[in-house]
Parts: sequence; structure tokens; C-alpha cells
Amino acid sequence: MNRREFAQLAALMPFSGLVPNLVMAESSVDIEKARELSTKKPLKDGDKRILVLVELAGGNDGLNTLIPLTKRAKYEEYRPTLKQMNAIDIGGGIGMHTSLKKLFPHWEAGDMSWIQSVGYPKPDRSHFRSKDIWETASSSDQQRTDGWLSLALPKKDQGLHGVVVGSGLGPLSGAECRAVAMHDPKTFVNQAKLVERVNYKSSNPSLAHVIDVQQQLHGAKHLLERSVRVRSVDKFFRPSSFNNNLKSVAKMIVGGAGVMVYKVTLSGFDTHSSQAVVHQNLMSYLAEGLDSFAQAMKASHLWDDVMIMTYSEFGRSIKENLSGGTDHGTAAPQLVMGGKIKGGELFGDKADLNNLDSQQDLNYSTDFRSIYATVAENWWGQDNPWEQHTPIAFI
Amino acid sequence: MNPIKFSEARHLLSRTGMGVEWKVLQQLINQPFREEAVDQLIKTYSPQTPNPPRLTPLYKMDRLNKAGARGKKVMHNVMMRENDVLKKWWVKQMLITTSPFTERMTLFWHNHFTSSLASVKRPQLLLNQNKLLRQFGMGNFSAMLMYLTSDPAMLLYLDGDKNIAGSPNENFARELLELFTLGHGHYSEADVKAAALAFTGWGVNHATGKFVFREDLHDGGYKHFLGESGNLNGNDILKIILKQPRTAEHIAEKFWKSFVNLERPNPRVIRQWGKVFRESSYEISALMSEVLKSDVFWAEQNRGALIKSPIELMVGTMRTFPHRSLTTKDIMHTSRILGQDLFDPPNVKGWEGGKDWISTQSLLIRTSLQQKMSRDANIRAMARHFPKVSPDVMKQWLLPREPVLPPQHRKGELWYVQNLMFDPGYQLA
Repeated sequence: MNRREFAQLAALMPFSGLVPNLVMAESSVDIEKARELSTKKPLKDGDKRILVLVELAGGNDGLNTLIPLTKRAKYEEYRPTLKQMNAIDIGGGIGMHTSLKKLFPHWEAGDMSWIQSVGYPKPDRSHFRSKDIWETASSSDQQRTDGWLSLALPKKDQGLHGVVVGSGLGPLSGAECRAVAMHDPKTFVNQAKLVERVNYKSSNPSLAHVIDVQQQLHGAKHLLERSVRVRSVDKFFRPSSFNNNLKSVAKMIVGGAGVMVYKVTLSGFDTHSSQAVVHQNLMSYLAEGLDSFAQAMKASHLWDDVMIMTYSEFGRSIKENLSGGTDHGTAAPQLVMGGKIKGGELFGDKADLNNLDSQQDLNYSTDFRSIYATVAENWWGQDNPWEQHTPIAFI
Repeated sequence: MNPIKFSEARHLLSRTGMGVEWKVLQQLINQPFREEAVDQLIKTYSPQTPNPPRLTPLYKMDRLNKAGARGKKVMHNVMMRENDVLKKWWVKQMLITTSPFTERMTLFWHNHFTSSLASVKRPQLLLNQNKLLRQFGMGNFSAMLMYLTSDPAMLLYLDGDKNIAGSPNENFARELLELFTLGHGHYSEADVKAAALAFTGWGVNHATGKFVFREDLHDGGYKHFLGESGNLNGNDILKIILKQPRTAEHIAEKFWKSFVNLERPNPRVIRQWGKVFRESSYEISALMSEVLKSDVFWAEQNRGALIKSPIELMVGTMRTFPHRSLTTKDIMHTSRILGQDLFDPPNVKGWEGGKDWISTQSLLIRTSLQQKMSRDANIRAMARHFPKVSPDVMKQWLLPREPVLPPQHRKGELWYVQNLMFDPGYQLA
């Protein structure tokens, strides 16, 4: 809908109350678009620079992911049953959860780092709201709808920006991102053959959405046809749902789909009760999956083209509850991995149990937008869309 | 009073029923006015639960659960089997009911007061919750809130039974405020903590599946909640919540999203609807009537402004063309794949709906599903029930707006109807 059409439609509306909202929405989109057009740069010829996002859905317990090894009195007091005793020492008085052991070789090889205490001011403890905040790079008191990648991605005139193996486009949502969500590429390609090709513009947002999705399907089918035939990475992945999803990503990368961002999800981190076993399993699924993926990329000589990054909507309460679980919390660590990552380092300040916020939870030391800024500036060579947040030296 | 047109009767039916049944459409057109059509529709609501399935009693499940590893395994198998029994039962009611409006509203409330089989693990409790949703679906919201907050499935789903004095679990209190009543941003973190304390001691007797209040686990201390103070208990919290205008407005916003369009609700209209709802002492039928008689509901630009849920698409198609092109099992499985697993919403916020129903992934599945439903044998069987009307009326019957792809009529009626079903507009309501 252009401005003239909009004005005509607005004149027909039975109540004027609707109009200001729409006008606001329209103009803010325009500002964003203008900004993007002026600052976006393409990647250098031949550069791949792929980002693989791993969402730890439900809120990962950061304090039991990176565990304090020294001055443990407070930690053990807050975690009478959940305290970790056999963490893997990675220096700096910090240990990784013992079930992350498959990641340790990557740490030692300098292919992996942690950013500690990542969060944002006035943390929101709602899953939904905090997930929105992470996905759209907004502040606690600001509502944005487009995913953060619509601001960070390089200029790309053709092809797909992103593929989500799973559901929902999350950080890849927004009109500026061409992205698809799928169960796996093979099913996707087979089914896409049935969809009609439509060329039609509609001012009804719901219809426009359906048509847009149909058009995306045609484009995506074309790009992903080759991935389906890639077999070389199969041997690296034991069957499990998380591994299968990472295997799909590996196939698409090796198949040369030309996609810049992939997203997979590992769910189950909302551990309000009986956390010990659940969290231990999740940590080992995560480590095994990422280890397999790294091996597949190395074998295909693509490890330098790929960067993996985890995120979660929040960490958990430092104090365990009486159900053997933890409730929604605040800051937590994030890991980054890849051939070009400055590895074996702990960025940001470690969780400080002596300096808590007003809700008795952790304070953040690194704003999550600094990490997004690093991806935009140092991975993709873009101007930093979050100027007040400085990039971190992990690439 | 506004006389009702064909396109308007169609609009009302597609928004409040399941599909657009030709026979019902004719009945609506016979009503002289839109307002009477709405009153007529609301009267079809039935609070009874039709033919509930017989499920293993809870005391037996509880006994199995306590009988070691083997007992647990048997219980797990019973649960898995009965989960499907329950889901198929609901699908069947939607297909055979004479009041699709009842099923539509039950689904609406299921998506508001959410609980899931995956986390409650007791199909019987989810059935009990479904009965409550039906009982109050067009009844009184404050009564509904009281019953649903002490509903065992809900208490288990949101860890309410684990919320005890000395170690409050905030899960239930937070979702009560954020999703069921006030909405995000209309309370503070301190209110969440106070509400959690007030609900301490609410629990479930696992053998009977009934609510229990455990006095010894209740925090009897002084609490401040939304400007009121005292030794507040759970019921006090609910009463305070119901005094807040935001509660009625939050429900009104959900009605907007389900019945009007996917855009941001107009605040002035929401305040009006909230006022009507409060002044009726929270009678849901009063709110429903206000919504369905409003200008915004009937506005031309809101026709086809919603996206059909997977259930609406499948059950709706099967009620529009009365032919069993899918089994209840097909519908159960496909709605799960399409993201609407009955009795198993993805999280406490329920199904996001709207544009979320159509992703590249789900549109592919919808397309192959429609192909299956309109396959030769199926469409021939459907054709026996086609009304004898012109292609133009046929088009107005099946689509909420002009087709995007011009439908071809020269190859005959079957081809024409198939064309209409594959139009992007068929995904809209």
C-alpha cells in the first residue's frame, strides 16, 4: 500500500481513532527502510560468512553453564542441590558444565569463546517479551517488530537471507528479510512443487502475507534443490532431533544454498522443577550437536566461513526453588564458535553473586546488542546499527 | 438495525462457526437484521459437554504412577493412548455439532486459559478443564476465572501446586497477570511476587484430581498487591484483578484479534467494549454481542482480514462440503503438524495465530492437504451437495473476497470449485 492508497483507505474508515496508529506504523517503517538502503553494503565477492544461531529456548541456567570454581560459598548457598561439583576448568576461576565436555577440544583449539553475563537493562522475566527483545534488539520499554538481522545483514539482492529449521522466523522476521522456516530441506523441496505462482499486490495484510509466502516458496525451492542430494555430512551426526536439524543446516551450507543465516532451536530450558537431570541432558545435546556440526564443516573446508552463536531469552534465578528447579532470571553467558573466532577467551565480566539487582538476580555486564554489533561490523563488514553498543573482540 | 446481506451472513458465519454451511447461511439470511442474526447465533451456544470420552480414572493412574518403573510405563502407555482419544473426541464434536459456535468459543477459551497434555500428563484433567471452558464459555467471566485458576490441570501446568510458603513458585502468578487478566505492562514485579505468595498452598489431590487448599503451605503474611494490602489470599487477588479496567480490556483485545482483524486494536473501541463487559458484571455473552454488533466487525475492509486456523481450514472445509474427505485421525495429526495441536498449545501464551498460521512450512502442508481433500473422488462426492446457484454466488459463498487467481469455469463446476479452494483467499476468514 503506498501513501495515496493509504490516504484513500483511511478516508473510508468509520472511526478516526485508527488512523494515527497506522500513520505511525507506516512512517517508522519508512525511516528504517531509508536507513537500510543508505548504509547496507554487499559482502566481498566470494565471501560466505554464514551465521548459525542456536536458540536455547526457555531460559538457560547460565550459572550452571559457566560455573564459579573459586569463592564458591555464595554459589553453594544459593544452589544447595543444584550446585555443580565437576565443572571443566577453563581458567579465570570458571568451569564449564561437565556435560559440555565435547566442546572442550574446540575451546582448547581456539575455535570457541564465551561472552559472560549477557543481558540488558531493566530485564523482563516474561518468556515471550524477553524473546521478542532478543529477537528484535529492542530495549525493555520499546516495541519493535522486525528481527535484528534485518538491520545487521549485508546487502543481498537475490536469494534467501535465512533458513529456520523449526518454526517461526524469530530474528529473521520482517519485510526486509527473505527467510523460510522448514522441517527439513527434502520435505520442503518436494512440497514446494505444489504451490501456485502468484503475482498480485493486496492492501489486505493477511492476503498480502499469504501471497508473499507463496512467492518465497518458489524462490527457496530453487535454491535448496541441490542440498537435498548432499550426503557427505551424514556420518558426523548421530540421530536425534537437535542433531538432525544441525545436519540439515550442514547440508544446505555444503550444498551451496547461499543462505547467510540459519537458525535451529534446542528447547526445554524452562527448568522450574527437577532441573539437575534435565539441564545435564540439554548441555550434552548441545555439546554433541555443535561438535558434530564443527566436524562436518571442517571436513568440508567450510569451518572458516561459519560462525555459531547461542542465545537464550534469559538466565535463571540464582536461588534454586524447592522443586529442585530455578525460576526466570536475568543475565547469562553466550557461546560463539567457528574457524575465525578468537577462541579460548572469556569476554565480559563473570557473574557476580555479591552484586545483585533489586530482584536479587544477576546484573548484566555485556549488552546483547554489543554482540549483534560485532556480528554486523566484524563478521559482515556493515556499519554498526546499534551505535551506542561497542563491538566485542571475539572475531 | 441493519438488514443482512448474503456477504454479511457469510462473514458472520465464517467468523463464528466452522466453515460456511449453505443451509445455515440460508437461515441467517432469513433473519431481517444483522442484530437478530447475532442474537440468534449466541443463543445456539451450549454449555453442556457432548458425549465426553471415558478415560481411565485418576486414582488408577495415580496408583500406576506409584507402582515402580513398570507401573510408570503402563501409565505412560495409557496416557499416550488416551491423549489421542481426547483429541479425536474434540475433533469429532467439531465435525458433528449442531452448534459450531460452541466449539469455536471453546477453542477460543482453550487458547486463553491454556494447559497442555504434554505437561499435565493427565488426559482426564484436560477433559475436566474442557468441560469448564464449555460451561463458562458464554457465561460469566469472573466465575470462569475463579474456576479456571483453581482447576487442577491449570495448577499442574503452571506449577501452582509447587507454589508453597517459604519457597514461592511465580510461574502461575505471572501468567495469571500477564496472559489471563491484566496483560503485560499493567503490573509490577512486586505484584507478581505478592500474587505468588497469596496463591501458596493451592494444590491438587492426585488420586481424586480435585483442588485442595493446604493451609499449612499457605503464606499468611501481609501482602501489597496493585495498591491494596492485607493478609491477601488467592481469591482476594482475583477480586482485585477484576476491579481493574484493564482485565476487561485485555479480554476485549483478544476478541478483536479473534473476530475483527490482525491489526492493533483501536484503543477507543477497546475501552468501549471493556466498559460494556464490566457493566454487565463480566457476562461474556454481553461482550460477544457488543463485538458482533459493532461497526468494526462488519466493516467492509475487515472481510477476509483474518487467517484460518488449521482447524478452521480442515473442519471448516468438511462442514462446508459435507463429505468425509479426512478422518478425525487425519485432522488430529495434520493440525499438529500445522501448529495447532489440540490440548497441546506450544506454550502458556497459546497459539499466536494470525500470520503465524501461514509460514512457508505450513503453507506447503496446507496446499498438499487441500489437494488431498479436493482429489477427484472427494470433490465428486462433495459436488452432490453443491447448491444449485450461479458461479458468481458460488464464488461469494466460498471466498471472503474476490479471487486472486481468476477461476476457470469453462471446464465445469468441479474444476471451478477446485480453483476457488486453491486461491490464496481460501486461507482467509
